[in-house]
Amino acid sequence: MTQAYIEIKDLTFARGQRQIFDGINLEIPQGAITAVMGPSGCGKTTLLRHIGGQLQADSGSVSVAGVQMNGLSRSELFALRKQMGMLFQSGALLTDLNVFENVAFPVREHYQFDESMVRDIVLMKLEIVGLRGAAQLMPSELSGGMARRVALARAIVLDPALMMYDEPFTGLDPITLGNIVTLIRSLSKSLGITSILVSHDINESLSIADYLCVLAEGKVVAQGPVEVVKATASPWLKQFLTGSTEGPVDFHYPATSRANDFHLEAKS
Amino acid sequence: MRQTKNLELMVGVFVFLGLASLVLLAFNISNLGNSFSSPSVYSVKAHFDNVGGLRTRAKVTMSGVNVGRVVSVAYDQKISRALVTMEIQSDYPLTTDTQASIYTAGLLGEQYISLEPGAEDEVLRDGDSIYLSQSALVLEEIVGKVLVNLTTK
Amino acid sequence: MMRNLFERTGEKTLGFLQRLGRASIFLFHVLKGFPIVLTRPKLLLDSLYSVGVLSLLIIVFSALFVGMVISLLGYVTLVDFGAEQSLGVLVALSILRELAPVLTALLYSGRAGSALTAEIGLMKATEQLASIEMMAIDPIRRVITPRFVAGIIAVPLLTLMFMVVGIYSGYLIGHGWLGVDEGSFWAQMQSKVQWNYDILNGLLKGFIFGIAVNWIALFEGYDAVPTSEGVARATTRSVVYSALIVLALDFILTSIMFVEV
Repeated sequence: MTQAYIEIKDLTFARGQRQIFDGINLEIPQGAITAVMGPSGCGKTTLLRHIGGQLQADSGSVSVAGVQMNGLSRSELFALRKQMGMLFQSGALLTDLNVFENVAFPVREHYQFDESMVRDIVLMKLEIVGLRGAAQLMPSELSGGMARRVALARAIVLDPALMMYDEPFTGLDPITLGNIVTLIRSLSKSLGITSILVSHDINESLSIADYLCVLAEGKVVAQGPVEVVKATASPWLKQFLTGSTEGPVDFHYPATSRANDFHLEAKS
Repeated sequence: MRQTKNLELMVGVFVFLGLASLVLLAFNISNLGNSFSSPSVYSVKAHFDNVGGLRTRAKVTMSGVNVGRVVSVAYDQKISRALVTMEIQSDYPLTTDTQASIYTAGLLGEQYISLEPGAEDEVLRDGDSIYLSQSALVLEEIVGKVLVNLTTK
Repeated sequence: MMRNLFERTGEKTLGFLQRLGRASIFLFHVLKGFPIVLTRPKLLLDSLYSVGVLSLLIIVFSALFVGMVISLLGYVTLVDFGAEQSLGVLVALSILRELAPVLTALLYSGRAGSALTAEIGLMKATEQLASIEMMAIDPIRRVITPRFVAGIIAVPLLTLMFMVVGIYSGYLIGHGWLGVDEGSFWAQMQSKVQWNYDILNGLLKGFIFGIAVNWIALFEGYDAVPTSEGVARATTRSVVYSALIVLALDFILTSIMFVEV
């Protein structure tokens, strides 16, 4: 395993009564794509929020690029975040700005570049996602896939060292899906960006991920290079990775006996 | 860019309208315009046995013309009478034997001070006192007097 | 049953205090970002357009009708006492002291306040605020502060316009229709209306209402449950709370400003 970019040690976190993380230990290697997977509601997105410093751990520690996230001052946190890009599930484009201004937004907020320089940077990033021609459109005029590509351009506009993708494959048509998969891979491989991919689309994720981490019920069930995890999978994990209905996870939510609910008392 | 210009213009017009309203309120609707045209006033005092319902900011008139305002109504412990301070516009000099009376505007209206100039040559200066005063008519007192007159006859 | 009632009252009170605390911290944070409107006036300008210019029409029309109604009702009452000459005073004082600040604040909360709540709530629900934060930009400073400052500038300005439009429309009805003498209408008004007492106090009311309404609207949006249902509820709450707070504040301010006990 190469050097770890993100280290998570004994992370616990509860929201109200619900224990979301119960002592998680995780390492995200530098310059590779790590897929974080798990059933719905197991806290994959919450994990990203901890890495981005939007949530504070109840106990344990999260460190990014050697910096402890706990107890950072606001300005230190913001300095760290300038090296992070995050692609939100909904795209999260600012609805009152057009595509160009959306991508230019972080640049304008952080730097006092002159207009021609901003233009060059923005059009370059839009070219990467193939939407240079859509620069003047408003977010409401974009399809879901286009919006996600614009959001991707915005996330990489400050050339981050770390990219976080929150469910990048959900709700896309097959062609757009292929585009996004290719984009994520090429961004990681050509620019050496450390990438974290949170998803439950198994096939797409496994096709580009170098490392795999599976979360379930607040714990890390498996982590390591994809092939290793696949080879040593438990029955539960095998069922999860193949998406089969047969296995230890029952289709039925735990209930009282059928006889009881359907009034099928044995007639004597 | 054109849109931006338009927006700036509209906001400019908006702020201008607001400030113009303020100016209009100051000079056309309130008394600020008047006090600007004759800003100088002088204050005189007067003692009354009874001020009735006289309040601060009540008007002070001479022959029905507004010449000033009551600034304060207080009780003077030393001579056990009410002390009324008023501001008179400098355009209206008052003789030293001016008489101050408290009247009521209409049957149910508010009370005001009416000044009647006398015959002296000397005029009151800032801070001087009017020594001729007539108190407010209090309805209960009049009714009481009438009743006494009726019963003693 | 009794125990249940007390428990629920306590729970509600605690919840309220908690919200009040969060709202205070929020306001502090908003005010701390104030320099941004000086360094980037464009942000303030954009917000002034959406909260101020867009509320102008409803304020002007309402003022027009309110002035006319006050003039009509006032005349009907005053003419019985032969005091219709005082119509100008009555119209001016009721509008300046009471109606302009209160109605402007209520109308503003319906027009601009609800829009602010919905806008901020939707930005939260669609993760726009979270994404701004992930770009290492403070969303309160960048998004909320300019709107708040624009709001507390816009409400007093709108109040002033309400005052002028209301009084002139009252004059139109009083003089043009009811035939009150023009001279005594204005002269009595000018001698009775005091700049620093009536107008500045009315304006001060408008300013205080402006702070309350914008604070409530922006906080409700920022604190909304990030779902479409949550945003809808927050918008309703924003208007209801604004109305209640404005009327309660109005009672307190009126008793301090205009009543000599």
